[in-house]
Amino acid sequence: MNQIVAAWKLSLYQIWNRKRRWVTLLLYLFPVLIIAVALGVRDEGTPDFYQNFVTVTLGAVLIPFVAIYWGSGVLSDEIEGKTLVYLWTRPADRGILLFWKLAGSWPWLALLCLAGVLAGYFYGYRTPDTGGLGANLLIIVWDVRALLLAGITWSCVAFLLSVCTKRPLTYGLLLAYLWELIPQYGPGFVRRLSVTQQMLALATHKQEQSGLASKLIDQVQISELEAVFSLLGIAGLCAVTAILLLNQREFLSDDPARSQ
Amino acid sequence: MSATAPATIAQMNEASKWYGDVIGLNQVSVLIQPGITGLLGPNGAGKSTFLKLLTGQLAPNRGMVRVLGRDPWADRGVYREMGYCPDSEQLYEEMTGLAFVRLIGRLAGYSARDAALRADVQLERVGMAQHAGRIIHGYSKGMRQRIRLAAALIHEPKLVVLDEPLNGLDPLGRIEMLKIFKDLAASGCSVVVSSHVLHEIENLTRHMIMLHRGRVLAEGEISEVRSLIESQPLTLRVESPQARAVGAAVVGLDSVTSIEFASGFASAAILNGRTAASAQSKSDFSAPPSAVIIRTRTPDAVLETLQHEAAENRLEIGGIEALDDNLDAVFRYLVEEE
Repeated sequence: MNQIVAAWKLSLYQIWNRKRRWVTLLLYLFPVLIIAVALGVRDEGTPDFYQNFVTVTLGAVLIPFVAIYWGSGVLSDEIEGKTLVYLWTRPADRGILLFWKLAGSWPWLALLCLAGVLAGYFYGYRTPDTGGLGANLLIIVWDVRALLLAGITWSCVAFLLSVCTKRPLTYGLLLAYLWELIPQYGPGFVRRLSVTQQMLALATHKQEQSGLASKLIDQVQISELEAVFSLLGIAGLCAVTAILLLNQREFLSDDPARSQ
Repeated sequence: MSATAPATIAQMNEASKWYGDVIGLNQVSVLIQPGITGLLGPNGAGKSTFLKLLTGQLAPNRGMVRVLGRDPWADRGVYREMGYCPDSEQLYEEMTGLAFVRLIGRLAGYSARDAALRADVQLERVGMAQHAGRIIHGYSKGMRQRIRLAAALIHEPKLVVLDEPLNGLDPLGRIEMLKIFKDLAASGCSVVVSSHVLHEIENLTRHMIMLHRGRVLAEGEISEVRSLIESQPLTLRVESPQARAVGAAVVGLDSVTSIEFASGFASAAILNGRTAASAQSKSDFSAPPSAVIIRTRTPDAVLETLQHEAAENRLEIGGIEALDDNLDAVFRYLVEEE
């Protein structure tokens, strides 16, 4: 337990250190900035806006970026800062220690998902027709769940990439923004490999809409339960593989994870 | 494979490590006994590979490594009894020294309270209690070294491995660190310390392992190595406005093998009584030499002569520097002897 707390402290340090602090703040402000731009165009939002905002702006753009950024940094920051040796010479399983550091970023990811969804809700969804916050609480919770599960999955993918490659951030973003475009045009089984498709299956906006998100959601033929298990499965597989690789891999001082 | 005997702190048996085609360590067999052991070698000798094998950061390609009876690569539990102080200066720059040492304590498995208590003890031990509340970013090299040492000691290990711990320290800092290492050994903690400077190790311990090109070149008492050194020529540079007189004073000594005069751009050598020019141009000899470079097998005799001449006011000497009083010269010599 003490080692887990220490790993979480390192996660806090990673996300909020001076080098990353402003980027982190900017990422948190990103949903608000989008809303501000939307306000400049239109006085008030619509459920359609909210749907697009959650599934596209947050689910397909912001959350994958943040999760990959933080997930790849779990190992890469230690390597670049030459501080990995302090984690590597402790009486703890190396892979597990770094996994807990990764897990330490998830509460911050959850906070971002919640802040983003709430920002979108208060601008876009809260109309006399759709009822108050209480009436729509489940929508908010379900959307946060979808985004958070997708974010956790992306962070685990990035964690694995950081163990295997020299440029985990680049490859992670290529996966998130290029590879993810392919499955929606592919057959059903390919969609099951797509984090975004699974996230869309968990989104709560099944009502008839005309936006981009609706078109995307309509294509998804994955059940909610299947999506949850698929996301957890991808995340688990990546995390376990990364842990096993980390425990078996030799490390040199400058570039430990890439020594072989 | 039998377990390491209790009296032995660490053991390597035919341990080899290579990186692709490059051999880092080649069939090294050593026994490390309790106390302080110096690991000596010039840059690229394999010291870091040796220490990384010893601390379980690398696995040997061949052979066996045991630390406190355990395989450090396979058994992470060994870190409960072993501390490691890397040569890297880098730390978590925005943490305070205290927070860093406490964090390492938590990573070692201690509760917040225990980690805090232990951190205080170790920071006091390394003389950093006063500065522990400051951000690491503002620390000097010496302070960083002390903080790393405090972190390595937080779990009171039986063995502490120090990779070039005196690098970059000022003379006073070196003396203080050497005292800490000696105190550690006196308290029962075994210390393995690497360096490429012989006299640093010599001030610390009598036992050393000397590496060169991935192999153990010598192992045992430093005095044995020192006797080898004393039988090889040593180069001294003597700064003096009377460089020629200095040369004349020592040229008669049997142990002096060559003398060379140096000034801004020129030098001339006297070899076995002959004068040879090694300057860029003859015109350079017009400037009087400001230093003399003496190669001798008995530096003590040369120093004694120069001190005597200076004491009698016959010579003015600005300074004396041993140009190759380091391991490179020793290694060159030992390799040639081999």
